[in-house]
Amino acid sequence: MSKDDSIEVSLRKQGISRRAFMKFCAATASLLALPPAMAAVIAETLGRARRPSVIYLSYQECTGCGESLTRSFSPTLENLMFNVMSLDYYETLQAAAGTAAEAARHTAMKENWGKYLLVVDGAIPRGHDGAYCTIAGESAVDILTGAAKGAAAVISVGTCAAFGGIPHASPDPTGAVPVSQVIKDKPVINISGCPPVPEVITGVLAHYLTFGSIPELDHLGRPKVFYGDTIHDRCYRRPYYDAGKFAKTFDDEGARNGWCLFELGCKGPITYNACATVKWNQGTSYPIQSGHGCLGCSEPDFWDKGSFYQALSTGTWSGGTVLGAAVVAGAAIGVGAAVVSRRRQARADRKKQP
Amino acid sequence: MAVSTAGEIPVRVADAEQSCGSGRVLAILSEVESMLTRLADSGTCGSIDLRNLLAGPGDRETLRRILAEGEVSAVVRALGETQVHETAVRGVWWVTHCAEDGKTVAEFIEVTHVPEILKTPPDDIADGLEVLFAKRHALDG
Repeated sequence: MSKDDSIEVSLRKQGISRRAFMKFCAATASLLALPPAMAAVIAETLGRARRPSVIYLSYQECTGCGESLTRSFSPTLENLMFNVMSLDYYETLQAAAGTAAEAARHTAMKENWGKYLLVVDGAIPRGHDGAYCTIAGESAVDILTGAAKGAAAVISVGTCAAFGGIPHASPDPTGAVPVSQVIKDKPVINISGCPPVPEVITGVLAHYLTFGSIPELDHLGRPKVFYGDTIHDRCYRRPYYDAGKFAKTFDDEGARNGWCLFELGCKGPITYNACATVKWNQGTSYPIQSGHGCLGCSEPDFWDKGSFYQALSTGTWSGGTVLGAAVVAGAAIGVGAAVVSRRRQARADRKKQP
Repeated sequence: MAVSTAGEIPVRVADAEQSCGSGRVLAILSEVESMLTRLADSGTCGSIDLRNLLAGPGDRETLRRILAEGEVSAVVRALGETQVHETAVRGVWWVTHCAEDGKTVAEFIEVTHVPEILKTPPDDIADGLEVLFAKRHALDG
């Protein structure tokens, strides 16, 4: 497969029919919440495009994001997604090691300067001049800064890369920061989640490949197509919230009847993510459907905001009583109050920003 | 309640047969009706992506039960199976794209004469011609 081939030519060389490619494009349009008719546009655009070079850097992370990515879609479609990209550097998957691996990264950067996609997972340790993470004698900060200079777009995968995540949690011994605090001269797409929904990762890559631009982002740099609604907005248990029916413990009658998990600490009302619609494990379910409240893992500082099992009405998530009062009202009044609480949360967040 | 084995966990499975689904099912049926009217009046085809619409347990089963099976079924084998069924409402097709491991990757209701996935694209016809030529050439020796 030549790097100069268009995506369509390279797929045909692998024996993939136009009909199969159209099926892939239909699945991609669906994933991106585009009208079904857009599948033909995706096929036309994606077919003519050259395979983009992708450089994937990993820092303070658990590899859960990479595990998630490699389980996106099902085996065949996942392979197809990887076939439309040229994954030129990814320490977790590549066979090369040591100087050969570093040479591969430098070659890919040189050959694709200004055009490659830079994907980063993990937070960046800046304490002690970056000494907590060095690769081949270079600090994570320096490697990231150098790689970002030639990137067409920078994508932070996972809450650690997007917001600092668990490495940034108190007491943050390594001075961990998100990618956006290191790279300030170009937009950074944040795909948060611990880990992110796998199809969301590939969906953002597919959007870039198809439209040649980054998707519309929210105020935290997340693609609105996947982070435009709260878990609560799209939760199938929402009618129980509106009706004031709540599980009080994990094994009571309410829990068995599938009632709302708000009082058991569910952070769905203020968590923006696609879990309730795209779901997990090839669309099987998501935490709430499995009987556990949302942890809020796609939101900044989720690890430091108190117990996962305390209701939002206790106010721990906004760092004050503003949200608490609103969500207590939400639990009492039902529909509408969660929207109010989110607005207050947003205002509280804005006040916190310098 | 003390639970000592997995079998004692008091799980209650929702009965899809008895369910009328969420309000989403009625909304989808209304949209299908509008599309079918357009197909009948002007020949305009329509499609509904079911990914985000059938979120509640029982929604899919309810919609399938209401639309029911029609006269035509087909299976396309390309990157896994795609199942195509005309429903009992003629002109309304249920198309399910699966990967090779059988997992559903996209699901649509198509309101059309024939779903696109069943038509052979021109590029594939060209490939077919090449294959046929090669087979004939082999027979000719």
